[in-house]
Amino acid sequence: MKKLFSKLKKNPMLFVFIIILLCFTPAAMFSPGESNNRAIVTAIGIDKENDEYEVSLLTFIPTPNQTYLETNSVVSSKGSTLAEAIAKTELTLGKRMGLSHAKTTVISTSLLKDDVSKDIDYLGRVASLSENTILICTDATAKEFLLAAQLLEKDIGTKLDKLISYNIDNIYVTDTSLEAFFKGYFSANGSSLIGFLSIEEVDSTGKQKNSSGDKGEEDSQDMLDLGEEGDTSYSSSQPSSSGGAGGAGGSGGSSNGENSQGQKKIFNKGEVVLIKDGVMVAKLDDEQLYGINVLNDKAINRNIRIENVTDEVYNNATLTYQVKNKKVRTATKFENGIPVFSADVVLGLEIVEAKEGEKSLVTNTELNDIPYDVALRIEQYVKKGFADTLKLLRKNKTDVIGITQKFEAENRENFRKFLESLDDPDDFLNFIKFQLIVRVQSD
Amino acid sequence: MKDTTISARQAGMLCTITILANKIFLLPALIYDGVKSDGFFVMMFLFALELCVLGIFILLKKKFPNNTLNFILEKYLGKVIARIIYFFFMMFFLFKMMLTYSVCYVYLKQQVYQDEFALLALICIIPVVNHAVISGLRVFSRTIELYFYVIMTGVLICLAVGLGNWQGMPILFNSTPSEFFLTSFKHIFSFGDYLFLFLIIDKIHLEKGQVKHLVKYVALGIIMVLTLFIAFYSIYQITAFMHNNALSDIISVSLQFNAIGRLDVLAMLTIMFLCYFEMEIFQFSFSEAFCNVFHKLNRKYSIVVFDVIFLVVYFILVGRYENMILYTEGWLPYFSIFTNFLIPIIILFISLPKRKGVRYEKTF
Amino acid sequence: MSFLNVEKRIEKVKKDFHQSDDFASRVLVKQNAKIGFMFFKSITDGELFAETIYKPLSSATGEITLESLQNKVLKSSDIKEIKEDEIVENIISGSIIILIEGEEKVIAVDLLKYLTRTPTEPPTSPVIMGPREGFTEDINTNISLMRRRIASKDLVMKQVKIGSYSNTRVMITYVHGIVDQKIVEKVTQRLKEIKIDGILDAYYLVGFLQEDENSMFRQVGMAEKPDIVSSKLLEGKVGILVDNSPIVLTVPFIIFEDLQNSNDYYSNHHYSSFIRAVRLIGIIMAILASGVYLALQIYHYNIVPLNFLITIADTTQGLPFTPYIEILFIFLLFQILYEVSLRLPTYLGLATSVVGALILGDTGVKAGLISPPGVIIVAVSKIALYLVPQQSSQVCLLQLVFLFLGGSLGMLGIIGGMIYFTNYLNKIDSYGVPYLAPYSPRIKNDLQDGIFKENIGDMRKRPESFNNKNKVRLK
Repeated sequence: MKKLFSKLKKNPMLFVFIIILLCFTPAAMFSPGESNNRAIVTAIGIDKENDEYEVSLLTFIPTPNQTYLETNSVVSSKGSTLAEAIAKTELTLGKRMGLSHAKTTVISTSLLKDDVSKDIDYLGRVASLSENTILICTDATAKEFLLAAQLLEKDIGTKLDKLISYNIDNIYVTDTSLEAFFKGYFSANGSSLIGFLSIEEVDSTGKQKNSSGDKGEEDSQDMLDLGEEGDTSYSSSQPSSSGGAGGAGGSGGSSNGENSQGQKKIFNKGEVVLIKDGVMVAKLDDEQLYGINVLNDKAINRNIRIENVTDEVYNNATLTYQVKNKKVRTATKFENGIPVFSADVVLGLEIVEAKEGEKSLVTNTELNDIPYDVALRIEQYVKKGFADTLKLLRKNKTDVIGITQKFEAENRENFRKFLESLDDPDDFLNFIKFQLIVRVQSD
Repeated sequence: MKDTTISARQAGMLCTITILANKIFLLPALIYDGVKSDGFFVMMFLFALELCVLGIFILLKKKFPNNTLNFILEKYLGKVIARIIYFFFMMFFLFKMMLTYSVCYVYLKQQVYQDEFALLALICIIPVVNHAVISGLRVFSRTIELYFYVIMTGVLICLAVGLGNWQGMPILFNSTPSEFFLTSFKHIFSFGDYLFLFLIIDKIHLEKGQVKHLVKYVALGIIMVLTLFIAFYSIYQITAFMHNNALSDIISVSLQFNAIGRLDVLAMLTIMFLCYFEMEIFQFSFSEAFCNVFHKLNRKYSIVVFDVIFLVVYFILVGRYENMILYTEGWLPYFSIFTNFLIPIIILFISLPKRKGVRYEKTF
Repeated sequence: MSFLNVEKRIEKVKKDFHQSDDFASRVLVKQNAKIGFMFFKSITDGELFAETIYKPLSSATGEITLESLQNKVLKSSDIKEIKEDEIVENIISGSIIILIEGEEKVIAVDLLKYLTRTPTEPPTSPVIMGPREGFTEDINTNISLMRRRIASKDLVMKQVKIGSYSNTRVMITYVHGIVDQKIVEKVTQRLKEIKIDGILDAYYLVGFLQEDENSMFRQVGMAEKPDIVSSKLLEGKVGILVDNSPIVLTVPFIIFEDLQNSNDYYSNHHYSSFIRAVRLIGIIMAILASGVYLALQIYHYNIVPLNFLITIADTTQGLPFTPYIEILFIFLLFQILYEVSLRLPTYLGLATSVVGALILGDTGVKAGLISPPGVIIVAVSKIALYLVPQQSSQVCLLQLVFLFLGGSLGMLGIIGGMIYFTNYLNKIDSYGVPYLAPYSPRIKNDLQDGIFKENIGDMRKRPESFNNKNKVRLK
């Protein structure tokens, strides 16, 4: 013992180390570990009714030798604040909520009637939630959405976050995370876009029973333009195990209660919601979204369909072109005190389908040449899309295409003077002159 | 002499580590609060002032290649003033250590040890840092040299991912001159990175022509910090004020990182290494200053005194890490004016007349 | 004078050996000369005795004196004249002592019976292509192996005897002109200062040669092959050969030496660099894997990728042990199995490995006692341990330390531990050489034989880490 002390005396830091280990080891040794202490939440759903919040959490329940679907369940609780509702969920599960792996937050459109930033303040503050947590909204309740999300993997082998990531990369082509929402919210114009996925009920054959979306049956017709990005419904029969998996309802919580009424499925129609100062001002369909993305050079994964083409090659043909590349150049200037925003869009197109009556044309390289008439119609189509969207943005006084930033960066002083001269600076889009040049070329 | 010196390369690495100290966590958000994206220029301005201090150090080193700062100060200013200056250094590094600990603690508490005992971080860090200080400058400089590339790789990956998420040039020149200078002044305590060089002036083996090694590593540190600032402001822009941990946050915003696993673990490891090394440098500097204020007490006393003062001041007077961060914008800038600028200017007058340098033996 | 009486002199020596039964003595009378022989039956070669002493003596003519025996009669080249007080020592060394009545002189003929094995490939340093000879327990064989590799007049061998009872021959070897003489002097002095009863293996000397004798990190190089030792001597190091040990010690020593392998020098340098990098990663993994896994499970679930977290959570669900105890249990299980398989005869050892690895592991998982990720992590760290077999004991202890650090303090504790141990290693100077050279401090020239090894033709200078006198290796 004496020898041990003399050794420790030679190296006091070793002694300190041993003491620390002795202090912490017993506690750690009998700790079950965070991986077992926490309920792993992969998606958060928020509903609001009569000033009461209902938080639904898609939670992973560890069970040996089970599949992802069988070990996930939706747990929900109500409370006057989000924090309170989550605390109630913790009480129910007997575990603390681990939000670090939550990749998706779903809010119902009912929250967007008032300033939603107050409702999701908790999510902005809680440090364990990542900045890039995706924020989307749905027309049904968030709880129903999460229950439907559970079935995604079983039905089509994808997870909710994969589906939304696909949308972000290919359909929205804009960030729809919590961070992006706050960025828009705190911007001078206070406007932002968030993704939208609708929930619709299907019968046992997979057919839509009714539509809760604004556009109803017209949607499926409209989606034709989108080609492969179009209307996709995920339908199959609900597995027998899901009823049990969703059974971990908290105080006031319930899950999978809709079994008897048919199944609610997620429908991906490529829609987004336009938000101004935390309030939803419009829901944009895919065409309107396309209009917004005209100036977005990353938005290229899109088909353009031109009907009734008749020239030397085609006779009353329907041609579908895919945008292969896009170059966008924007510039701002002031002409006689009027701000002018000009954009030059060059589209590189490739023909992907040509139908002439009943017969499909044989594809060859010559067909890649875009006839003048078709090019003109594509230009008009793009311009019309942008004009329609601009009308919508002007009406709602929302700038989600970065006009303010562009002017701030290039003509800051003039732009500020211009804003000061307006009665309602928020309405500035109505006083800006837009010049759009679209050029079409074969890729 | 030979046994305790460090090479110019090692000194440069110490500089890079201290430059990164407490500038990669909270500072970008705090500065954004004052001058928006012009925080980038605030950093450039403050770095320019810092480089002047480095220049003064190099001048002094050329004039007194083998002498301790204590010898120089006593010779020119007398014993009393020398001790007062050392006392200021002592306090500067004590608060610097507290600030570093505070910002690291904020990060660790928010991102790493969410439920754990608040003292755990302190209990992990203090023994290791104390051991390094007892082992000496040469030992921990070599350790830093070994892990330097690990740290740099971590920082570079974070910066690369951050730049990969580039959202466009942040809007610059958006603040008034008064805002600019006020913000610069408010955050001056986060600087003063090269002051530790004065304290170890006799221990740095800086032959003629080796200054470039020192400057190279200083430039590396500055470029990294500036890149971090511009990437951070580009990514977050208007919400920059909401993000406390710049290095970690420029990674975690990436949508892609979800696909390849938790990339922010890289930022976490880098920050942990940086946290330890920065504190080693600051505590060693404190220890050096302490030994020169109290000539009769050796390094072991300085460590005990430091630990006691640190715990007492931190937990009783400062109380919470938020207070420490408030102090850095409150009264500590006034204190820093003396340490960061007044003392170097005094030293500049001492070092102005030139003398031919003395050559050293080669050392590792 | 009584001491010139052969019988009495033999009796005296016999007493010195405490009437040991393997001590043999004979007295012959030949041409009026009474000749006495003394030797140990167990260590002298009987046939050689007959050939070199007995037969020539039988046929000898003329007067028999020790001088005539030494110069004319005996057919051995290893005859020497010794003093009376050196008799015991020479008998122990395997010599036959010859006395003649009335003559004060004593001669010793070395007839040591070499009970040695032939140089074979040592189990710890096998090579795919390259020399396979390893050192044996016989120091003479080892010296000849060295001489064959460095056939130069500058290869110096200096003998020191250590052990009051064992009288072990220890040979200090170095290349004159390359080595720093200060190191030779320091080693010689340290060896001479050792007052111990016996040295049974080279490892006995390690503690005496280290700068910090209590350190858990070995500061003396150990090699079992003459090609490795020769290469080290050519770098300016000092070798220490110990009789009865197939291990040769070398100083100064840097930790990176153990990451090098003789295979690296007998294969393409690009491949060697890759293998060294793998070894380094493997050894880091071996040290940290268990601790990091525990830290992730106990403290940092939030940085574990979701899919892996789900696997961990699923597999650890319902285990009777907490993660800490589970990993410690598996760790202990592996260590027990390792020790058992090492000590059992080969065929039984193999059976134990099968039982341990397959039956215990698999059944343990199925019985819900341990989790598959836990088994994998500990198994990987335990296997990776033997990437650098020379450091396996140190690494094993470090594994345990980091396991405790990770489990008790999380990642911050692990990083703290890494820095603490690196600081500790940086404090060690092995005969003036930084222990972590050439990386900490960085010595540019020596990086040529670092993780990324250069072609032998490009390694023009000897390592600067060691204070060698002749820097140029290749002109």
